Amino acid sequence: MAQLPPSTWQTIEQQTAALAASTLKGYTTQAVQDGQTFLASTESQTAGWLAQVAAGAITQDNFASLVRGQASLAAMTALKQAGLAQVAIDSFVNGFISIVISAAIASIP
Amino acid sequence: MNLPRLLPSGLAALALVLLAACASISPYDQAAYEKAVDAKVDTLALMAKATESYASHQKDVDALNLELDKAYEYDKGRPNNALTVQQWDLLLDPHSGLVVDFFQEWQADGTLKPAYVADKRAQVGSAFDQIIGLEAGKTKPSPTQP
Repeated sequence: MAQLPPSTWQTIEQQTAALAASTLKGYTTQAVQDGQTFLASTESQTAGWLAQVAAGAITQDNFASLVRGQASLAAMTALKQAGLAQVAIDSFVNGFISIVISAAIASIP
Repeated sequence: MNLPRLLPSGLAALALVLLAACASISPYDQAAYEKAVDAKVDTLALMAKATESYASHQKDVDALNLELDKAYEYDKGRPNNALTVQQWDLLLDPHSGLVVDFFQEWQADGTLKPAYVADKRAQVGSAFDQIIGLEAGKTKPSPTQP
């Protein structure tokens, strides 16, 4: 049975590491940053809404609706991140298959 | 038959099949993106009028609901698009504190306070941005060869 030479596996390993760094690491950094931004904005918005209730600018029912909306927004943000994670994984898997096939073809004498 | 010559092209074809099979989420769709952007603009424009009487905008609300339904159904009909559909489900859920909830409050109260309308418009705008952001982040299909 034919086997790929060690140099081909080395090439695959190096290119796969570079691919993972570009497709997966970039996504993770962005997702963490987005989560922190969302939490910070929710904290300041909630304080602002409470001040508006105290000032009579919005009602308590309005406040409850805003909090409900913020919970839904958090879920929608999580769904977006889950989708973008799938895109990053798809990109990695497709890139990996390309690397392996290209390296295999290149090793054919 | 020259097998060594055929082998690379066979592998390339196999690669294309494998690549096509490996997409777990729908690719970017320009029409879906535009429908979501249009729906956001129209929704926020109508929400801005919620300090006026609901009765005078009843037809506008009906028209907007139709536009939102069309955008939702379009995304629902796309394969591997469950996450985007779940986002629409939340946006249009009458108890989610977002679009439909807002119009129900407007209908019940007749008019809404300006500060509340402003707060809600910002929140609903961000909710639409999650749908638009996911669509924009999907893999763009390769341009077709002339």
